[in-house]
Amino acid sequence: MNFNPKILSFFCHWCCYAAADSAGVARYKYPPNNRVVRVMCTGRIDPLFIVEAFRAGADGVLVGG
Amino acid sequence: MLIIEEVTRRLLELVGLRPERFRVDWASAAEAPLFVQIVTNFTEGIKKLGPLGEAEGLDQGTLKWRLKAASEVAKKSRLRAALGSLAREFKKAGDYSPENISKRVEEKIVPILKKELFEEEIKELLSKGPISIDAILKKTGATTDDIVPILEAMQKKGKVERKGETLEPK
Repeated sequence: MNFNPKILSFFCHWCCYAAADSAGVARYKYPPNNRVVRVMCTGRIDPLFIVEAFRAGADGVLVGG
Repeated sequence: MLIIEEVTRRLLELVGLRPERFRVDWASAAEAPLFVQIVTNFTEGIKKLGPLGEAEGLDQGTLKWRLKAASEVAKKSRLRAALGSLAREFKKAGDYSPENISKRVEEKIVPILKKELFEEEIKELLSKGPISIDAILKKTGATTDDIVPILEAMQKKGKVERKGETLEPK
Protein backbone atom coordinates (compact mmCIF):
# COMPACT_ATOMS: atom_id res chain seq x y z
CA MET A 1 0.00 0.00 0.00
CA ASN A 2 2.67 2.48 -0.95
CA PHE A 3 0.61 4.23 -3.54
CA ASN A 4 1.13 7.96 -3.64
CA PRO A 5 -1.66 9.45 -5.71
CA LYS A 6 -1.05 12.46 -7.89
CA ILE A 7 -3.75 14.99 -7.22
CA LEU A 8 -4.17 18.17 -9.18
CA SER A 9 -5.94 20.95 -7.32
CA PHE A 10 -7.39 24.13 -8.69
CA PHE A 11 -7.68 26.66 -5.89
CA CYS A 12 -9.37 30.01 -5.94
CA HIS A 13 -6.94 32.80 -5.15
CA TRP A 14 -9.28 34.36 -2.61
CA CYS A 15 -10.56 31.28 -0.75
CA CYS A 16 -8.88 27.90 -0.76
CA TYR A 17 -5.48 29.24 -1.80
CA ALA A 18 -5.52 31.64 1.13
CA ALA A 19 -6.81 28.85 3.38
CA ALA A 20 -3.90 26.65 2.26
CA ASP A 21 -1.58 29.51 3.04
CA SER A 22 -2.93 30.03 6.54
CA ALA A 23 -2.94 26.25 7.12
CA GLY A 24 0.76 26.35 6.37
CA VAL A 25 1.36 29.31 8.66
CA ALA A 26 -0.57 27.59 11.47
CA ARG A 27 1.52 24.43 10.86
CA TYR A 28 -1.40 22.13 10.22
CA LYS A 29 -0.37 18.84 8.67
CA TYR A 30 -1.95 17.60 5.45
CA PRO A 31 -0.96 15.09 2.75
CA PRO A 32 1.70 16.27 0.30
CA ASN A 33 0.05 14.75 -2.79
CA ASN A 34 -1.40 17.98 -4.09
CA ARG A 35 -0.12 19.90 -7.05
CA VAL A 36 -1.84 23.24 -6.84
CA VAL A 37 -2.85 25.45 -9.71
CA ARG A 38 -4.03 28.85 -8.58
CA VAL A 39 -6.90 30.41 -10.46
CA MET A 40 -8.33 33.83 -9.79
CA CYS A 41 -11.81 32.34 -9.33
CA THR A 42 -13.26 28.84 -9.66
CA GLY A 43 -15.51 30.31 -12.34
CA ARG A 44 -12.42 30.15 -14.54
CA ILE A 45 -12.50 26.32 -14.46
CA ASP A 46 -13.56 24.57 -17.61
CA PRO A 47 -14.43 20.88 -18.18
CA LEU A 48 -11.44 20.75 -20.51
CA PHE A 49 -9.04 21.52 -17.61
CA ILE A 50 -10.29 18.52 -15.67
CA VAL A 51 -10.17 16.13 -18.62
CA GLU A 52 -6.66 17.31 -19.52
CA ALA A 53 -5.58 16.81 -15.91
CA PHE A 54 -6.65 13.17 -16.03
CA ARG A 55 -5.03 12.80 -19.43
CA ALA A 56 -1.76 14.12 -18.05
CA GLY A 57 -1.79 11.42 -15.39
CA ALA A 58 -3.61 12.85 -12.38
CA ASP A 59 -5.36 10.25 -10.20
CA GLY A 60 -7.79 12.80 -8.82
CA VAL A 61 -8.80 16.40 -9.36
CA LEU A 62 -9.90 18.70 -6.55
CA VAL A 63 -11.45 22.09 -7.14
CA GLY A 64 -11.43 24.40 -4.13
CA GLY A 65 -13.52 27.52 -4.07
CA MET B 1 -19.25 26.59 -11.32
CA LEU B 2 -22.12 24.38 -10.15
CA ILE B 3 -23.22 23.80 -13.73
CA ILE B 4 -19.67 23.16 -14.92
CA GLU B 5 -19.21 20.72 -12.04
CA GLU B 6 -22.29 18.73 -13.04
CA VAL B 7 -21.32 18.74 -16.73
CA THR B 8 -17.77 17.59 -15.96
CA ARG B 9 -19.08 14.89 -13.68
CA ARG B 10 -21.36 13.56 -16.41
CA LEU B 11 -18.57 13.65 -18.99
CA LEU B 12 -16.20 11.70 -16.72
CA GLU B 13 -19.00 9.23 -16.04
CA LEU B 14 -19.38 8.61 -19.79
CA VAL B 15 -15.63 8.12 -20.08
CA GLY B 16 -16.00 5.50 -17.33
CA LEU B 17 -14.18 7.17 -14.44
CA ARG B 18 -15.35 6.92 -10.84
CA PRO B 19 -17.11 10.12 -9.72
CA GLU B 20 -15.06 10.18 -6.50
CA ARG B 21 -12.00 11.20 -8.51
CA PHE B 22 -13.37 14.67 -9.10
CA ARG B 23 -14.58 16.88 -6.31
CA VAL B 24 -15.53 20.49 -5.88
CA ASP B 25 -15.56 21.89 -2.37
CA TRP B 26 -15.46 25.19 -0.55
CA ALA B 27 -13.34 26.59 2.25
CA SER B 28 -12.98 30.28 2.93
CA ALA B 29 -9.66 31.99 3.62
CA ALA B 30 -10.38 31.83 7.36
CA GLU B 31 -11.12 28.10 7.41
CA ALA B 32 -7.69 26.48 7.40
CA PRO B 33 -8.80 23.47 9.53
CA LEU B 34 -11.71 22.81 7.15
CA PHE B 35 -9.34 23.06 4.20
CA VAL B 36 -6.96 20.54 5.77
CA GLN B 37 -9.89 18.22 6.37
CA ILE B 38 -11.10 18.48 2.76
CA VAL B 39 -7.66 17.80 1.30
CA THR B 40 -6.98 14.91 3.71
CA ASN B 41 -10.33 13.24 3.03
CA PHE B 42 -9.97 13.60 -0.72
CA THR B 43 -6.43 12.21 -0.71
CA GLU B 44 -7.53 9.25 1.42
CA GLY B 45 -10.38 8.58 -0.99
CA ILE B 46 -8.05 8.57 -4.00
CA LYS B 47 -5.58 6.33 -2.17
CA LYS B 48 -8.35 3.82 -1.63
CA LEU B 49 -9.31 3.93 -5.32
CA GLY B 50 -5.74 3.39 -6.46
CA PRO B 51 -4.15 4.66 -9.66
CA LEU B 52 -6.35 6.01 -12.44
CA GLY B 53 -8.07 3.13 -14.22
CA GLU B 54 -7.58 0.54 -11.48
CA ALA B 55 -10.90 0.93 -9.65
CA GLU B 56 -12.57 1.47 -13.04
CA GLY B 57 -11.18 -1.71 -14.55
CA LEU B 58 -9.87 0.18 -17.58
CA ASP B 59 -6.45 -0.48 -19.05
CA GLN B 60 -4.11 2.42 -19.79
CA GLY B 61 -4.66 2.26 -23.56
CA THR B 62 -8.45 2.46 -23.35
CA LEU B 63 -8.22 5.20 -20.75
CA LYS B 64 -5.86 7.37 -22.80
CA TRP B 65 -7.96 6.92 -25.87
CA ARG B 66 -11.27 7.71 -24.20
CA LEU B 67 -9.86 10.76 -22.42
CA LYS B 68 -8.51 12.03 -25.72
CA ALA B 69 -12.01 11.81 -27.19
CA ALA B 70 -13.41 13.55 -24.08
CA SER B 71 -10.96 16.40 -24.44
CA GLU B 72 -12.03 16.84 -28.08
CA VAL B 73 -15.64 16.98 -26.90
CA ALA B 74 -14.84 19.62 -24.29
CA LYS B 75 -13.46 21.81 -27.07
CA LYS B 76 -16.57 21.52 -29.28
CA SER B 77 -18.26 24.79 -30.01
CA ARG B 78 -21.63 23.06 -29.90
CA LEU B 79 -21.08 22.16 -26.25
CA ARG B 80 -19.79 25.65 -25.49
CA ALA B 81 -22.84 27.26 -27.03
CA ALA B 82 -25.18 24.96 -25.11
CA LEU B 83 -23.37 25.76 -21.84
CA GLY B 84 -23.67 29.45 -22.54
CA SER B 85 -27.38 29.37 -23.22
CA LEU B 86 -27.96 27.15 -20.18
CA ALA B 87 -26.05 29.61 -17.98
CA ARG B 88 -28.18 32.44 -19.32
CA GLU B 89 -31.34 30.47 -18.62
CA PHE B 90 -30.22 29.83 -15.02
CA LYS B 91 -29.39 33.47 -14.48
CA LYS B 92 -32.85 34.46 -15.62
CA ALA B 93 -34.74 31.86 -13.55
CA GLY B 94 -32.44 32.09 -10.53
CA ASP B 95 -33.03 28.51 -9.37
CA TYR B 96 -29.60 27.07 -8.61
CA SER B 97 -30.77 24.10 -6.53
CA PRO B 98 -28.79 20.89 -7.14
CA GLU B 99 -31.93 19.08 -8.33
CA ASN B 100 -32.70 21.73 -10.91
CA ILE B 101 -29.10 21.86 -12.15
CA SER B 102 -28.90 18.11 -12.51
CA LYS B 103 -32.27 18.01 -14.26
CA ARG B 104 -31.48 20.74 -16.78
CA VAL B 105 -27.98 19.38 -17.46
CA GLU B 106 -29.48 15.94 -18.03
CA GLU B 107 -31.98 17.38 -20.50
CA LYS B 108 -29.78 19.85 -22.34
CA ILE B 109 -26.13 18.86 -22.07
CA VAL B 110 -25.96 15.09 -21.60
CA PRO B 111 -27.40 14.27 -25.05
CA ILE B 112 -24.76 16.50 -26.64
CA LEU B 113 -22.00 14.94 -24.53
CA LYS B 114 -23.12 11.44 -25.46
CA LYS B 115 -23.44 12.13 -29.16
CA GLU B 116 -20.17 14.02 -29.51
CA LEU B 117 -18.17 11.66 -27.32
CA PHE B 118 -19.30 8.46 -28.96
CA GLU B 119 -19.05 9.97 -32.43
CA GLU B 120 -15.49 11.01 -31.69
CA GLU B 121 -14.67 7.53 -30.39
CA ILE B 122 -16.30 5.75 -33.33
CA LYS B 123 -14.40 7.95 -35.81
CA GLU B 124 -11.17 7.11 -34.04
CA LEU B 125 -11.96 3.38 -34.13
CA LEU B 126 -12.93 3.46 -37.79
CA SER B 127 -9.72 5.24 -38.71
CA LYS B 128 -7.93 2.04 -37.75
CA GLY B 129 -9.97 -0.08 -40.16
CA PRO B 130 -13.20 -2.10 -40.31
CA ILE B 131 -14.78 -2.95 -36.98
CA SER B 132 -17.84 -4.85 -35.74
CA ILE B 133 -20.65 -3.20 -33.81
CA ASP B 134 -19.97 -5.45 -30.82
CA ALA B 135 -16.38 -4.27 -30.73
CA ILE B 136 -17.52 -0.63 -30.82
CA LEU B 137 -19.91 -1.23 -27.92
CA LYS B 138 -17.16 -2.91 -25.94
CA LYS B 139 -14.54 -0.26 -26.63
CA THR B 140 -16.73 2.78 -26.00
CA GLY B 141 -18.75 1.35 -23.12
CA ALA B 142 -21.87 2.84 -24.76
CA THR B 143 -25.29 1.26 -25.03
CA THR B 144 -26.85 0.27 -28.36
CA ASP B 145 -29.39 3.09 -28.05
CA ASP B 146 -26.55 5.58 -27.81
CA ILE B 147 -24.62 4.55 -30.88
CA VAL B 148 -27.30 3.46 -33.36
CA PRO B 149 -28.41 7.05 -34.23
CA ILE B 150 -24.76 8.10 -34.60
CA LEU B 151 -23.99 5.22 -36.93
CA GLU B 152 -27.11 5.93 -38.97
CA ALA B 153 -26.12 9.57 -39.35
CA MET B 154 -22.62 8.56 -40.40
CA GLN B 155 -24.03 6.13 -42.95
CA LYS B 156 -26.24 8.85 -44.37
CA LYS B 157 -23.25 11.13 -44.78
CA GLY B 158 -21.50 8.29 -46.58
CA LYS B 159 -18.67 8.12 -44.07
CA VAL B 160 -19.23 4.52 -43.22
CA GLU B 161 -20.56 1.42 -44.94
CA ARG B 162 -22.38 -1.34 -43.14
CA LYS B 163 -21.77 -4.92 -44.20
CA GLY B 164 -23.79 -7.18 -41.96
CA GLU B 165 -22.38 -6.72 -38.48
CA THR B 166 -19.19 -5.06 -39.62
CA LEU B 167 -18.61 -1.39 -40.36
CA GLU B 168 -16.17 -0.22 -42.96
CA PRO B 169 -14.78 3.29 -43.24
CA LYS B 170 -15.10 4.97 -46.61
